[in-house]
Amino acid sequence: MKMKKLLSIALSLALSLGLLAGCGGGGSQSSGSQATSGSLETAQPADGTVDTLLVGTSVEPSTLDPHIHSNVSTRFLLQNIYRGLVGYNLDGEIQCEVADSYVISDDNLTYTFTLKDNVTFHDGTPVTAEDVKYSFDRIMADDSTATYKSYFTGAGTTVNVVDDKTVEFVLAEPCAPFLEYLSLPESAIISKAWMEAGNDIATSAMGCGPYQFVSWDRGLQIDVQGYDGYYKEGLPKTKNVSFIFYLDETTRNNALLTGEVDLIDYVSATAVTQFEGNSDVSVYSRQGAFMMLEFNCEEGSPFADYRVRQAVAYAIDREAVIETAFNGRGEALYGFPTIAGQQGYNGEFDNYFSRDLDKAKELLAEAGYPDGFSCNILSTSDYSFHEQTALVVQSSLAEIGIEVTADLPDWATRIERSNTGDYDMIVCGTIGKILDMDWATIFYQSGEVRMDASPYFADEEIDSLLYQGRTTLDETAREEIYQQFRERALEMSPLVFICYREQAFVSGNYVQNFDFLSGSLSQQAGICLEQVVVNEH
Amino acid sequence: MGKFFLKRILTAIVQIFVVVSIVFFSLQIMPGDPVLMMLSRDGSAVDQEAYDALEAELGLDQPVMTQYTSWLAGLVHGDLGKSYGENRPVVDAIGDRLPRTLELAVVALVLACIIGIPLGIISAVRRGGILDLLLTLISSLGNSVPVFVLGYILVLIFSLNMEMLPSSGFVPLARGLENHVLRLILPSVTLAFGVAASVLRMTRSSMLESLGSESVRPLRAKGLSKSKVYLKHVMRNMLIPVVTIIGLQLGNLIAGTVLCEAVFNWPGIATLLVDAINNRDYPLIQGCMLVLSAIFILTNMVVDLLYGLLDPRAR
Repeated sequence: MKMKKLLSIALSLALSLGLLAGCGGGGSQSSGSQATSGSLETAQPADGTVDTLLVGTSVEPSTLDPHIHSNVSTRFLLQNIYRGLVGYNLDGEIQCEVADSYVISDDNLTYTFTLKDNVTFHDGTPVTAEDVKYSFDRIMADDSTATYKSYFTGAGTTVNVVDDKTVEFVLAEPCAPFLEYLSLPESAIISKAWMEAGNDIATSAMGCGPYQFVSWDRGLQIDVQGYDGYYKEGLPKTKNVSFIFYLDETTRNNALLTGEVDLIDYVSATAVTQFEGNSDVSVYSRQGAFMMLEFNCEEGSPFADYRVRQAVAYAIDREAVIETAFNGRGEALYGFPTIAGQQGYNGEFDNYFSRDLDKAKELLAEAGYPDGFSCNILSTSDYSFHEQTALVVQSSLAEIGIEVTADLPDWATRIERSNTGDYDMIVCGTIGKILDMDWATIFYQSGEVRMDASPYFADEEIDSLLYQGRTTLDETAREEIYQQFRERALEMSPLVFICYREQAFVSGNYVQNFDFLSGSLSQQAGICLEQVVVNEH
Repeated sequence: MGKFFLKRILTAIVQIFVVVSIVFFSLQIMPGDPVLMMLSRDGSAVDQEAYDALEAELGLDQPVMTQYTSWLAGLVHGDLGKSYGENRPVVDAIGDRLPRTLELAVVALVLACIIGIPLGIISAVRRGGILDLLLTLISSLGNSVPVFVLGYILVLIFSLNMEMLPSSGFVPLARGLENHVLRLILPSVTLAFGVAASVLRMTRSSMLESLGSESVRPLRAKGLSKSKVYLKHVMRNMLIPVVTIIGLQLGNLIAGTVLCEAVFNWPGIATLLVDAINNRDYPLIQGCMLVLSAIFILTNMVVDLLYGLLDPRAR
């Protein structure tokens, strides 16, 4: 151990001297080798494609546990290694993955899945009903740290093995979005045998997806390699993918421009504008998360009164937020973040609010604050768009007499304070976790103080509508229920929506077939990597 | 003599102990929560049961003093605990990253000496001339331009415009010497610039001092050639303070690579520490701080001891 460290230090020293010798001698070896563009093994197949895709990713994972949704970048990576019973395709439809087919019983309480015959884990063992049961039992276990645990325990799920290739999920009550829960990337199937052999799922990975885990070089990169036994014929198209950690945004952008990497994630609005004028790159920009405010509705706070929250909704200059925080890229949200056409929504509430300072002042006076009040807004200085949004809200609210102090701690502090409700107002950039309108449950339901919901907000009508929506299966009836819900949600305004922002990736123009969907599915871009082709460049 | 050594070493140990204790307790006061950073870096709702389970797993539900004493007990046995995020011993995590930072720092330091010392001598010999003026100007620029500004300027020139060198990244030696060395050039030059400026100034002033000293003038009067006087007598006198500065700079360099590593995506201990802070990975922060402060304190100690050896007055 010690020896090894000493050796590496000695090597570094030896190397340094080597470099110096190179410099002294004119350094002729450095010219002309720029074309390596970071590709370490530059074997090029004859068909004009390159066998390695280099992805510059903004986060180094803190865990590879596929049942934890820690952040979008990590999910992007894990989506290449793991697959669930069902999943979204690039048309935004749920399709079978590990499952071959499924049957839902007439009472909507039993979901029976038959598994594909040819699905194997990366160690070559077939995926069985036992593995499926093991995976979901792990998600629902008492000591589980799974992100979507309560989705399954809340529906009262039990998983039964019928035979080797058949597994059934029995629910305690009907659950309309249940298939969507199963389509979450965090509903991944893991191998029982592999887990019981004592492997660490947080630092290693073994699934049945298109790529198998090769290595995690800390601080540097994670390498995956195409799995020959993948159940989709001819996929993945590119043999190797390296996810190289580029935490600094400017450095990440430069790395793409100089060919160090082929694809980068989490490109800011300003950078997207710069990249768009460059014909060497392809920009993929989709409407992604939305920005909103949450309010601490604790008894005694001005925000406990829905009229004050509405006043804020009328006062915010949404166009100014888009201009300053998102470089003009984004779409103002004056109503509820459901796009017309989605699940029967007709767009009725798209202009529920408008920028109307008189109306805002009127509402404040009605609530008993004719001269305004002072409060704080929690945001972070780590992400400029969070900070800018807070500052625009601050100046907007000053116009109706609300004096706002901006608290801009680092991101980790901001996360902790948002989890305990330690704020009056908070800026959030978030999105529904599933497509179904049931996504709103976690945002609006009364209950414990948590992220994604306004602390101490509770409304019986909203709770009841959300419950009905989830447990009713008739689509027409659900549309009706959710229409009522949206109206009530806007009236109560525990969350005030500001705008949609873009989610963007940028690649070299030689990268082909990269694609992802907008809205909630923008967070599942990882599904397309199996079809990406890297042309010679 | 032995007593002096013992005293300095004991002082260093106490200093390190104080530093790590301060770090431990300030982490307790610092807002932010490692459990939340692992479960939801994006800021989406976290299941309370999942939170409790992970908190217990990481041992964060224990009282602070219990955590402190068990950490100290581990430290005595050379065990710095286990990183939350990396899920492996902190010693291993640092073992991977420290050599990369040392490599960068040592290369930068050697470059700085190669550039700084000769230019300092020229500057002193040509005191008051155009060249001296120019070098003084450049060296004050070197001292004042921040690493990240210089780094991005070099990337702009050598990577984006001239396409001569990779803009960033790190390739382990095992994956190719050439790729490794190419990616070392820009960060080490960036880091070397400021240090070279310090070395240049120190060389210049101590050279001037030694040129004007009582011991040098008679040598010329005695008839020794100019070059012989400079190379043999002046250089020897002036090198002592320069070597001291270089020793002290090494400690500064290792702690000061943070920005350079960030700009060039160099995965050394500085970026490890920054990530650990962002994720509130307490054992990893403590481990990095221990190592960095130990390097700093120990280099200072070694310089002190050397002085003690060379100059009895300092004991």
